[in-house]
Amino acid sequence: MRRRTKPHFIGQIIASVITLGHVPALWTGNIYQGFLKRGCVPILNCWGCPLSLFSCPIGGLQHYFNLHLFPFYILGFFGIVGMIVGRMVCGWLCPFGLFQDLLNKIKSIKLKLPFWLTYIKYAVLVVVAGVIAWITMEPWFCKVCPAGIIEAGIPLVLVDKTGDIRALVGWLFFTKVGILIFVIIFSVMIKRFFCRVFCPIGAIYSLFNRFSLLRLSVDPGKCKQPNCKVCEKICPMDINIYKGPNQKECIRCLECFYRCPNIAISFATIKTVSSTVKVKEAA
Amino acid sequence: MKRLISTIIIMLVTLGFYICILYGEKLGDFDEIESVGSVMCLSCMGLQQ
Repeated sequence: MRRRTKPHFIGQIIASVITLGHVPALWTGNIYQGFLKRGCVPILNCWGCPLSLFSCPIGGLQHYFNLHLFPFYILGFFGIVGMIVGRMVCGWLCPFGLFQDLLNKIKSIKLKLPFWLTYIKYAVLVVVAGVIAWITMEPWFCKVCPAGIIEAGIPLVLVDKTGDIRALVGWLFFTKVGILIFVIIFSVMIKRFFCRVFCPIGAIYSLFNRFSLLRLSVDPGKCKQPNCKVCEKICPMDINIYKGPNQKECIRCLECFYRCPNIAISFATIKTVSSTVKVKEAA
Repeated sequence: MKRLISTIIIMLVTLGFYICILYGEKLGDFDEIESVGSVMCLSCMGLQQ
């Protein structure tokens, strides 16, 4: 075992502080309108959030679809991040992922997510953030995004001094609060519920996991599956890393890398041969 | 040899995405994102006018 600390937690906290770093908004409630808003961060980051310094890539993607334009910048941005690290940003940078990780620490009944539900996020990406946004010319994913209500809607209503914002609260606000409560309840019981089932950004990055420059490999000689299962128990995405170290659902938090008692997991850069461990062979 | 081809393909695809960003910048995508990100999108926050 390499170490017991969780470096990805530190990464998530630092990323949260940087992306949500517009501190004056805490007493003014004003949205940041500076140069940094030109840049997207590779994670869910509601640009309506008073604390937000950067733009949200999925909001940007929908904006281009609303205008019936091809999103060159956003596509290139997703592509470069995906080709370099795959879905690692979900594990190391996303504040909403950190929120779910913390919620899952609450003691409660823990459930396993049926794998087929993970395909819903691709439908969310194509249908809600793609087709519906294109047809209706409205950012429909943003309208239902729970990160938006917790980062932007609720804080703005709370810091509103004039009452102008509070006057705008209506059915959409309460619908979003309802979605947020639904996500919170299931995130307590299921690890990374929103990331695995609904997140369209996770859906995009997951497609790059097999091809990205950064990859993981499992040494079949060292792996003690199926008797060990340490990696399976600690995985925040509930995947069996030994059955395929570069699966779509892997967020490369590196928990398994650090905590494998046999040091069987390592980094692999560009390899043509899959290092998947066949359970029967290892046994 | 396979590894070299794989590396070259990945590099070319990454370069393609980089060109996408540059082309988007030429079309004014950065300004567009800045202008959108700087306004208060009420419906995104669950607020209505």
